[in-house]
Amino acid sequence: MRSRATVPAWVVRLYGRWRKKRTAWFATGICVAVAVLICAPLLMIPGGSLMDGAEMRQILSPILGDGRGFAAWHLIPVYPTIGHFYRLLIESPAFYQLFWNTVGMTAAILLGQLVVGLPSAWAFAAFRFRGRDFLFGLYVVLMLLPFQVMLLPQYIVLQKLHLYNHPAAVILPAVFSTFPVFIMYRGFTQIDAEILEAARLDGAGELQIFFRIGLPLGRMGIQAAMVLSFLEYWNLVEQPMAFLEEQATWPLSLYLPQITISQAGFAFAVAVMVLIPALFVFALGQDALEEGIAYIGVKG
Amino acid sequence: MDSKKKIWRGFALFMAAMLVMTYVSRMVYVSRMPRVKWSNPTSASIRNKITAEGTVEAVNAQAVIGLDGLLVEKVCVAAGDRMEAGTVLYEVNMEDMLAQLAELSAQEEAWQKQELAKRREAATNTTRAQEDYDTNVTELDRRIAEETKKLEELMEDLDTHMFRIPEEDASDEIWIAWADERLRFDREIAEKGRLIEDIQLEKDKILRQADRNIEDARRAQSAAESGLELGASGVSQVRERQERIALLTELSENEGKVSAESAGDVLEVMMQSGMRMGADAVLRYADDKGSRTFRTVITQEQKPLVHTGDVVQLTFPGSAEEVSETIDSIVQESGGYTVTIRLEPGVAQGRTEGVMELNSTSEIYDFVVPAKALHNDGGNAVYVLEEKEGILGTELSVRSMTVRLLDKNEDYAAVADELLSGDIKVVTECDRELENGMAVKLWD
Repeated sequence: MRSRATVPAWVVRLYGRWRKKRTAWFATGICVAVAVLICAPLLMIPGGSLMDGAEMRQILSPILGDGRGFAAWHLIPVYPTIGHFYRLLIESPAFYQLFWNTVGMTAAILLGQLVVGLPSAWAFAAFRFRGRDFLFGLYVVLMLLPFQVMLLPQYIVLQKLHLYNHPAAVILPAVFSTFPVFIMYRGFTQIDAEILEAARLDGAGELQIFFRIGLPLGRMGIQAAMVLSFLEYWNLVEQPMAFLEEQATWPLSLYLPQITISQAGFAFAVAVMVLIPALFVFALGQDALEEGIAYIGVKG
Repeated sequence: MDSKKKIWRGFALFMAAMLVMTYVSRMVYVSRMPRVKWSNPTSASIRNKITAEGTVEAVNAQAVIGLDGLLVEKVCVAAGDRMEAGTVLYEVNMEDMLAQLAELSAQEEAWQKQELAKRREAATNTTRAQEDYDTNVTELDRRIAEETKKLEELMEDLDTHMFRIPEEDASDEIWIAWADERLRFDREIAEKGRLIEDIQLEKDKILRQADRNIEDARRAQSAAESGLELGASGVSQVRERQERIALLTELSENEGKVSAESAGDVLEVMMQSGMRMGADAVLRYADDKGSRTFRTVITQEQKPLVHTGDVVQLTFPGSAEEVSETIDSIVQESGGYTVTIRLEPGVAQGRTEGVMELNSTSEIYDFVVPAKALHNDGGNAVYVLEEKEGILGTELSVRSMTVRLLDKNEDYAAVADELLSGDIKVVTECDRELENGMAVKLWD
């Protein structure tokens, strides 16, 4: 007779837990798999930026048309090098030119949105006036319109204003974007109306209410709008491509398309450097960003 | 909040680092940028100054013929050397030469003795013939005289006999005797006359023979004295030997040194120490009295600027001599064009190399640029300085423009192209090699 095999206790415990939470584990597994799939391109960037050119050509040869089969990828380069970063940071002044263009353009847009959008959002949130709903609806419609729809009208307007091929051609339409107004509006609507009414009863002026109550309490909405706007305009591609001919005025997002596939390692290094400011901003405004996304979720 | 501050601090540091690196990368970029100088094309003529080095060659090279059969001891000159009249060219082996001289002298002495003996014999023969002649003449004259005397005696006897004519009435016997006597006289006189004639004929004959003998002896003597008996080849041999003896004697007096007879330049030496010379040339030289030619090779680019008949200046390294000469011919050869200039006699004496210089002024061209602005881009081209809009803004860059080269000298080049204008900026100087489209900066 064969003796019955003894199952270790920890296996029994694990099996028990699995049976209880197998649904949750299954869902977690799927999520992790999807997350890995989504993050895979991101994971390629640091490795690719440190990868030797020859190794890059070897593993990408099927893509480049020089080989057969499928392209492979080494998360950790076999022949790591900082040559791409050296070339980018020391030998490529064009990169810095476009970097500072992007910084300036994004800063101008964010500042402009604060100047233009903040009062608008406050007005929609704090005041009841005739045509408010219509106007707000118009804002929402404008927000929903894709850029391709607005391309031609914007082009004509910019030509008339002699702003074509000028950074203002990108900055001004962005400054008057309705999306941050919407986000900030949602932030302001979280302020209890009774607080505002009490302030008015206490004799506070509208500007006082705006600066003393509106801005502090709506800070998260403003931050969310700024973070989202930064992420959008830091990576702006279509508008500068459509309205800026002079390369000297281009943002950094147009630098990558200038790099050919044969310089993939260099492109990865550029991607790393482009990513860093966005990571800083994301880290600084992560809380506000989550809240802003939540605002978007309730915008309906 | 602390973490936010750290993030802000990190962000600020990142931006500061980017700012610093912006300047660093700019500096690196600019430091690697070629520096250029430029100028506008100008309207000007091209002064062509063609300079070409060449060689001076003798038109008719003279040859020094070797002393046939002599051994070269030492060669004292080399090709390219200058030689004056009296310059020792080479030395022969004295021992070998003296041996040959001794042998030839012995031959000559023996021959001289032999000739002397022949002459003496011929003279003796002549004397003897003359003596024979004289003896014969004397003898025959004596005989003729003797017979003539006898004849005269007979004639006198006859005359006497005629006076002894018998009387008319003498007897017949007397008459017959007288007549017989007279007949005898007549016969004897006739015989004597014939005898005399015979002797005279014999004399003529003997004398003629004697004359011939004398003549033969004299001829033989004359031949012996003149050496005709040797024949043409024999005389030639004797003369050659005597000339060679004279030459070797002179050479031995000069201690075996062979010297140049006239001044010139050694072109080629075809002998070497230890070599036994033949009757061929052992050295070629350009005589100063002869004329020379100057030859040089010019390039394809220089050819349009040089024409037959052009007057050029010739100078010779190491000499202050400068002459103006005319180009005689230009012949295309592999690798270029050979220019030949025939020099006046006496020019470029002692020179083997020279420099030709030709100056000419062209027509006025519309676009003249510095010659160093030209570069090869599959043809003649210049780099044009332009402003280029790029990521870094407006930068200076160079563009290669193909041009037609109309004329050129060492400093300037005349070019033409439809796109050329006087306002265009042509790069004339740069501190590193340029490429089309390369960003550049101006020289400080």
